[in-house]
Amino acid sequence: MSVIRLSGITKNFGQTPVLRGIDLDIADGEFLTLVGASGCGKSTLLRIIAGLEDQTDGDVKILGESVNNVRASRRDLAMVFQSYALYPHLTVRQNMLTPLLLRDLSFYQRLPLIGRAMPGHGARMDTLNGIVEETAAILKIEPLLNRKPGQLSGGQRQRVALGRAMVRKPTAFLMDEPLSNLDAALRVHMRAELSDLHRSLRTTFVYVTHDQSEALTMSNRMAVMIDGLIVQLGTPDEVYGDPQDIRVAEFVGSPKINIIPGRADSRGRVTAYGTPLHQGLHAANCDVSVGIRPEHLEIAPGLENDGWPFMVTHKENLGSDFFLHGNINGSNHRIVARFHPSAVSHISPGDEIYLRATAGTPIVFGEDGRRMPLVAA
Amino acid sequence: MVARTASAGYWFVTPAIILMIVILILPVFVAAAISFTDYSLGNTDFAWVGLKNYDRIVSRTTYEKMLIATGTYVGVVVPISIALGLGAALLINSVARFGDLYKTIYFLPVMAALLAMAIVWEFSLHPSLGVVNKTLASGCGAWPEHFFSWSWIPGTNSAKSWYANGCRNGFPLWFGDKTYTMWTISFIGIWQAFGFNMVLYLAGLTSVPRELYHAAEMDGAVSAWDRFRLVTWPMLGPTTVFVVTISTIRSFQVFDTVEAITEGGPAKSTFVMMFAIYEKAIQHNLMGMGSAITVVFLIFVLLLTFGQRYLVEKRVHYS
Repeated sequence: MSVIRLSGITKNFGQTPVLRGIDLDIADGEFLTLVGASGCGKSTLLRIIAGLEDQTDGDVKILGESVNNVRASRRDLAMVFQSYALYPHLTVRQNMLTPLLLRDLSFYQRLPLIGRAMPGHGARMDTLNGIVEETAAILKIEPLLNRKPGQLSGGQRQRVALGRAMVRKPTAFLMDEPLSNLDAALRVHMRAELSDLHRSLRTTFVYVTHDQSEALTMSNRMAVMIDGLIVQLGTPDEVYGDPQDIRVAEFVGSPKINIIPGRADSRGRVTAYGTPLHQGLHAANCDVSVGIRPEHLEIAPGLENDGWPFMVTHKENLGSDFFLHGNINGSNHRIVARFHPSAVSHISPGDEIYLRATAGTPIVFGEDGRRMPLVAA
Repeated sequence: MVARTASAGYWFVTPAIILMIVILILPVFVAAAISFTDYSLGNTDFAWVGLKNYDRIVSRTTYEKMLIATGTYVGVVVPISIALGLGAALLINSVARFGDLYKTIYFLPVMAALLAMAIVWEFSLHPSLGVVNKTLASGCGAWPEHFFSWSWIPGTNSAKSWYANGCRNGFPLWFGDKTYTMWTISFIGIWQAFGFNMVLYLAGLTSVPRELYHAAEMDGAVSAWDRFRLVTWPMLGPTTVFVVTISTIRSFQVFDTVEAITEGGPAKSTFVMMFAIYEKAIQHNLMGMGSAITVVFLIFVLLLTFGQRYLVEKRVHYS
């Protein structure tokens, strides 16, 4: 069952279209990532789901009900912001209590002095405090409950922001680049924690990021957005291994996929930079782009005719892997290849070697950037 | 060698320090010293009179009235001008159009010289010629009297209402009746000050992060009041401290309207501190007395500033 359903969402800022027809079904309990370069409209889309922004056209449905005319505070969604947006004058406990108080207590019960005198106030507050402490225990922030956000580190604030979103047990969590203000090591750590949290909460997460590695590591499904459109939606495996558009192939994966210009002959056989791929297309006589992931290149035994002559300009040591940077045949076409350290121990910058694609791995795109299926030639 | 290098620094700052002492600090001490004398401008000698000047401030009814008048003015103008300034800033911040126009209009009284505007007010509030009383009088016997004497509310005695009374016995002498004068002066003070507070609050509002409002909305803050209490008011804390301090100091310094319109009267009901200093030190040439009031004034302002620095500031800066 879909928790959130978007159909035909468009958004213009003045004359500028930001979203150009988004259709998306977000299933119950899934971790869906909206990923794209900055300016692709992913944050705007999230804010439209949240209700903080109105769409120009299209429908947002939550649990089957249209919420186009329902304001953000009534949609029962929780959001984690990039800047955390904690209330700086309130302690961590008060910050986490706020959504509970605003929803569970009436206007009069929230008044500073009168509220306390209202019947049942004490018991109510005990329950709510209990919820806050439970959540704090899950996030391991109990010792911080009486501190103010200003006294916390970035990672701790991040947890508090998560806690504030969690206390209410919302229909779905919306997260707008929640990790981008953290340092690299903490970001990697929080990726794992967020995934764990998602598994234990079993609630829907809609996660916006510009970092393709976050999308690949955490999501059940990822939607790659480019220029206001979802170009590809699928599991991280599908998006990485089977990109349907050259822009998706280039965006996902680090280091970036190698794109080598190629040509299909009259029988559809593809040649890339003079080297035949031994595979063909249904199309004939057209220019194509051949994409090969850095880990899908291997060193060819030199004299054969199926390798690209490759001039090594730089050798990058990542400990577990080596990246060879260089160019084909002295051209300015840069290539990056990834190897196990033992495979390249004898190679140093300045060497000329031959590279070839491992069997069955090239991905071919047509002149319009669309994927072209390969057939055995 | 090391010692010489270290002392060179002092030589560099000496001119600045001397200037600072001569221009900023010395005058305060001179005023404090004069306050213990009976010095008059032009006299070649003076006598030390100890705490006599201060004793007068505490014991004489004139100075009691001075403190009451100043206290009333500060007590009325500060809260009302801040509340109006905040209200105007919030309203202007919420409108999509004409915000700049409103800003300009509300800021006009701040830009205009208070002395000049005091004269305009003096004319408008003149008991017989002023536009205010003429307008009020023209309503007598017509619907304004009927409406504002509350005769349409059952159970009220309309004959005893303020408006009906004014129609019978004439409308107030705004600057001549001591029950009204302080309030009229305060009104002009509010009229003049709230535009300034509004501008300060508008500046403060621009620094409230938008994301906090979005967070409040997501947390379920539906009403404007909830958003104000949860985000706007706490985030305006530093601005409010500044506005309170500035408004209070400026209210302590009120002079133009009093000098131009009432000259401290009637019956010393508007005998505010600045005017007292002016009257004693300049008009009566009692420099000692004038200095003593100045020192009291300075102590008030210093207390206020230190109060702000140590008590409030820590609570409104949240980091």
